[in-house]
Amino acid sequence: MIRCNHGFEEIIHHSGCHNVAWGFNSYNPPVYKYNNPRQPSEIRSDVIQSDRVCRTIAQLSEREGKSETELRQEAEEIISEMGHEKGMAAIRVFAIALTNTWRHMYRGIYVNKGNILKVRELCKDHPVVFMPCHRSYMDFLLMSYICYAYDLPCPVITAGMDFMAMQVIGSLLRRSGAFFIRRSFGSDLLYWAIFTEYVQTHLRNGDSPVEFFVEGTRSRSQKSLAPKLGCLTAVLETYFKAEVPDLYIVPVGISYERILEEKLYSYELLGVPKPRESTSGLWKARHILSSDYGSIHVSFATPISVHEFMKGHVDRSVHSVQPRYMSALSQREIAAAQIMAEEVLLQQQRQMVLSPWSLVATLLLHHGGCIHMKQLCTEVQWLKQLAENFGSRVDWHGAEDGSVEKMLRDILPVYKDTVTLSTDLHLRSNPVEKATSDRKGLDSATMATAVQHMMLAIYRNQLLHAFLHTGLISVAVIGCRKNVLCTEELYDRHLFLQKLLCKEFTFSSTNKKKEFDHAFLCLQHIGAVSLSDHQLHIARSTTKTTIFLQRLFQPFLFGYWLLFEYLVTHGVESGSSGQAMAIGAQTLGAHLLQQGILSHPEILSLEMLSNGVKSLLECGAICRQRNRTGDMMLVPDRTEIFHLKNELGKVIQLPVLDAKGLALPLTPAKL
Amino acid sequence: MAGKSRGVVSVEGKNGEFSESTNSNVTSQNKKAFQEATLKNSIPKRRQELLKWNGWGYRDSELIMNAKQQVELTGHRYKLSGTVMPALKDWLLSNLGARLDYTRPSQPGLTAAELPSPVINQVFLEELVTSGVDHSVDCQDRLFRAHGHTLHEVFALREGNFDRIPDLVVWPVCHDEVVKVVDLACKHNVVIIPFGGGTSVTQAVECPATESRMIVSLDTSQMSRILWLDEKNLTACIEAGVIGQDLERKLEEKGYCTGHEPDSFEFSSLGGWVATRASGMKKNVYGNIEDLVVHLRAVTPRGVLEKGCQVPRISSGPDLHHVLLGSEGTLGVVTEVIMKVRPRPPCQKYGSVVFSGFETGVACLREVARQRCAPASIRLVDNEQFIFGQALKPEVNSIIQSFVDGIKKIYLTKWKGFDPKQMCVATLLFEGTHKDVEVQEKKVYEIASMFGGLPAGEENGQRGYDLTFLIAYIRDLGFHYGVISESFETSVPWDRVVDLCRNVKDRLHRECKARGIPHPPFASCRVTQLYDAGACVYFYFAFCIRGLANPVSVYEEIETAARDEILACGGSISHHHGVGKLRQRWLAQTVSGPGLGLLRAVKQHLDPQNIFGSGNLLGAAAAGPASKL
Repeated sequence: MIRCNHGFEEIIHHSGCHNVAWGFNSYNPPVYKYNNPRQPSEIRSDVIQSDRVCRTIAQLSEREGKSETELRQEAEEIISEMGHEKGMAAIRVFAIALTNTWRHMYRGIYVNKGNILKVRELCKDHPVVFMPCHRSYMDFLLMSYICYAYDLPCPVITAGMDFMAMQVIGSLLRRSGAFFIRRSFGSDLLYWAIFTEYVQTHLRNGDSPVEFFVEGTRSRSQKSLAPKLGCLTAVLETYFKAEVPDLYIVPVGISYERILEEKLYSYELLGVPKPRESTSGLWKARHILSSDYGSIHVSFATPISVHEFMKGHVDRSVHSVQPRYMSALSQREIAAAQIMAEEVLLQQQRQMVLSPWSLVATLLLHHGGCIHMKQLCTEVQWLKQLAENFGSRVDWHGAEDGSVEKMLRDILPVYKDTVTLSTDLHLRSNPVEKATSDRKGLDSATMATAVQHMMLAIYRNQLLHAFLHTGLISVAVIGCRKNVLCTEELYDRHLFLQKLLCKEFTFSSTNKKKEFDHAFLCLQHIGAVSLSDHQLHIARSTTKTTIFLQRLFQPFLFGYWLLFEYLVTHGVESGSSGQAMAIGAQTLGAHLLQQGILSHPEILSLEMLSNGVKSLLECGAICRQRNRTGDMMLVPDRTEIFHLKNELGKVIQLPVLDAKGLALPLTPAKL
Repeated sequence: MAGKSRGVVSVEGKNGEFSESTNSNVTSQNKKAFQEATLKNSIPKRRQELLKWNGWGYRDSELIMNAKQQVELTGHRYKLSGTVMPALKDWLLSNLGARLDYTRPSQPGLTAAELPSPVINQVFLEELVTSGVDHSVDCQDRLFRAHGHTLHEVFALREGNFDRIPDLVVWPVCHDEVVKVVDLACKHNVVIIPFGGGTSVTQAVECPATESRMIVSLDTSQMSRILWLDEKNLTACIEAGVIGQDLERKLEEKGYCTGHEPDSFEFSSLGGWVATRASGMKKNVYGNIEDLVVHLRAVTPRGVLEKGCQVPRISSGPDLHHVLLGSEGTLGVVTEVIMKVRPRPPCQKYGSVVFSGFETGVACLREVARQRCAPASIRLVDNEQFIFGQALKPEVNSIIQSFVDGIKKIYLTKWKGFDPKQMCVATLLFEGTHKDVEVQEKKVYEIASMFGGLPAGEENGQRGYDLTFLIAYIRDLGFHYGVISESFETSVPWDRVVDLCRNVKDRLHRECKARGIPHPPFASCRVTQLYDAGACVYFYFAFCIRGLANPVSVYEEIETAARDEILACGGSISHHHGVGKLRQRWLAQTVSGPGLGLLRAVKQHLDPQNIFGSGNLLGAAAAGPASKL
């Protein structure tokens, strides 16, 4: 069954996997041509005996005075805690169980078979790394399931420790190829050595593809998170040190119509911690297994040859004068890993299929949470065309004949918890009944509005990448207070916004101009902006499209403004950590919402505010300093932030705060 | 120093073999003696009479497809001459995608009309004539000295031409004549490119296309005498133009040898070995050229460069020998070498060991190196070359023999479980007294068995070494059927040998595929030398060029990619072939910026006019003014 013209094939509802026998089907994945077969236990002992781990043990023994035996014992414990027990039995169990479960939950799971078959061929000749986006716990189950279904070797997967503790499930995951790593082990040299070696040995010998999430954790906001480089550099190191001839990286975009964790995410973004993963928790949540979650699109990108990608970026011979397990990566290699990570995230985004629901959610937010069905149909169609004009794929299943309303009515039941279509044909977002908050300054009413808003915002976020550059250009256009704007200045403002939002969205650090030009051209060619003699005519460029696109990004700009205001007014009092700064700004934000000074409840998103802090750290507007007791703390640079605020004021009309606005209950008296 | 009595056991003048010592003035009388001495040379002055003008080796020895469509080696020079290799044709067809109906025969020859006319510096030529140094402007003499044996050069001979060839060939007969030629060249700003055996595989003897001065090819072949043999110190003073086979033959008559046997041994010269830092197959016993040299004498534009003593080791600042070793003809001409000699070993024995895979083979060689018990030669060939070696087996005439071969194969693959697509073989050559050889054999086979290696007989060992001389002839056969091939080598630390071999072969395959070469290439390697800290790896690479518009440039791109890969894997720019003009792009990263500056400074001091203007190593930049530093 092919769907939405993008060469997708449905995999759970077709007859081939209808019964238990499918779990016992012959499964013949290709084997890497240089592989020497190993058992999981042999892999673990190879890691313990590796040069890297032995050297680290010797070093630590010298430095910390522990005996090598003791450290080796420690290493054994780490590796047995970490290692997978991948075998076919568990994978087959999953295959059967998931088919049956998913058939109840999902209307369809669609995959782009063409590229999957390409990857299957590649697995014979190269070690392969799967890098899916991370939006849900479903991601890695889907990946392994698809591999099983298409005779691809099932990957070994880096998973967070949280799962390991889960009874039965933890062990089942381990047996199907998951290996568990601690959330943070930055300074634990032994742990680092073992982790690095464990990942690398799989690639060198091509035992299985390695799968990990470059975003490090599930993106609650559904936007790509700024990449974490640890695992990627460990992977790339095998190529940098010529331990493998080449590596292929396969970015995978997974698009959910409805996310299992939507409610949890909405709360977590606002700062309500997630419950611990446990099997009993999973059991309690089993009701979700009978709900309707629409469909999923899993799209494998064209595999990237690391060798080809790194041409001109690195010189691998720099590692020639040291044993490879000792040699540190060069600055150029680390920079190249960063560029690679960006590219992978962008590729993942290009693989996304936008759901009609994300269009609906966007329009609902645009119209304050309520829209008439008729208008919705028109605008959804408009937005879909806009997205397609900018190069995105939109799932339009069921509306190919133009019956948009029929399609919308068909999908709306999926979101019955979120929206209701009233008898007067108005689609409204459902208010949240009771929202508890243990956070000071965030009363339950504010919280309820915010959660209601977040439930839509996370789906709107699913499509922001499609409008990123056109959106930022629109921001600069709408915010311009002159009659004309020359393209150079427009580009400067675009660059400023990129710098500011660098942790919020994924930008390519190597193709800035190209991306700008492309977006600008798109806007010109759809008549959204008007250009003559390199001058943008502002009045004629203030169109439905640019206004709409500008409003898409407004919440982020106000969120960053909020952070600036908070940091400027509170200075060194604003908190010593990024988390504390974000929470402080959130409190101020809640106050401003109540005052009616701000209107986007999204500005309460701690993720957004923390991203802001990270961005300021990167551009030097927040500095790391040691305090008198020697602890590291963050200190905002008021002048720098003030400057950024001014710059921001050039692209968007900012609220003016009077003393009343700042008269926070928590504000220290000295202000 | 020439002409002085040296107080050594001199064999001077005892017979025609060892000629009189050099003299400042070459009279017509002793000129005759020089000529007598060189009559014993295996290769005549007009080399093209005996050797192929457009390929490797002797004209009478050639691999041809005979009437029965089987490959046969013509002539009588080699052990394998006259034998038929029935499996080779099928190997070529199936492994390389060659077709019998697709041939690319060589052009019949290049006539005077087609070759560039000589640039003559009249005054130089006149003074040269006066000096009495033998010379020629004959275009075939010049063409023969215009090239070595890289793919690029041989392809140009077969299907193309050269933009620039030497304008004159000179044949000095002794050190003093070389001094004369160099003096004249300096005086008249004429370029000299020294020419020894012409077996260079780095385009080192190729003339820089942009050189507008007159280029003289200084052929050293007439300086081939052993000036003296010192049995007390086991050294011999030898003129640098002697070629390997002649040197060993002459020493053999006295019961000695140098033991230096590079693969090009039949044709390459002593001076060439010094100029490229050559390595011999049996270096484990005798050492590489830098270990064998006790004293060097070289004529540079600045004067004669040599040490004042012939001692086993010296601490006198950086070793000047190492300035000349590997100088690739850019600093001067090596004229005389005092070299170590050894009594000939009474016993020589081949052997071989089969391993289940390349990695275990490398592990075994590593252990042999660790225990420092390597025999004279030990080489590990990979599976591709192992299979290739099988395809070179001569016709088996006896049914019993083929039956025995069949049993052997069954024993290995069925009984021992060796996978024919994985297994590989180490070939061995033992030298010494019978007792020594016995002890060595025992030790090596013991180590081999630790790695699951099974002794596979002398014959397999010998076949491995036969392949070494045969390979260049096979290359010419390949050319005929549109299969181009080349070899290149490197040195690498032990811990990276396996990765380097795998990655480079993999890269060759990928690069071919990326360029749309329809049939996968033959990419194979062997570990040919063992050292304490690493090994030398030698690659063979061949592919069918049917359908390619510009095969040589495609090849060169691929070889460049392969060398990049080698360096990325921790390998070197070259183990013994040298840099020439082929590998200059990697020299800077190999020797560092200051290192490059040092080489330039040396060049600048010894040869400020760039008389030795072959452009090897540093390229044209070497000719630039010192201020560029």
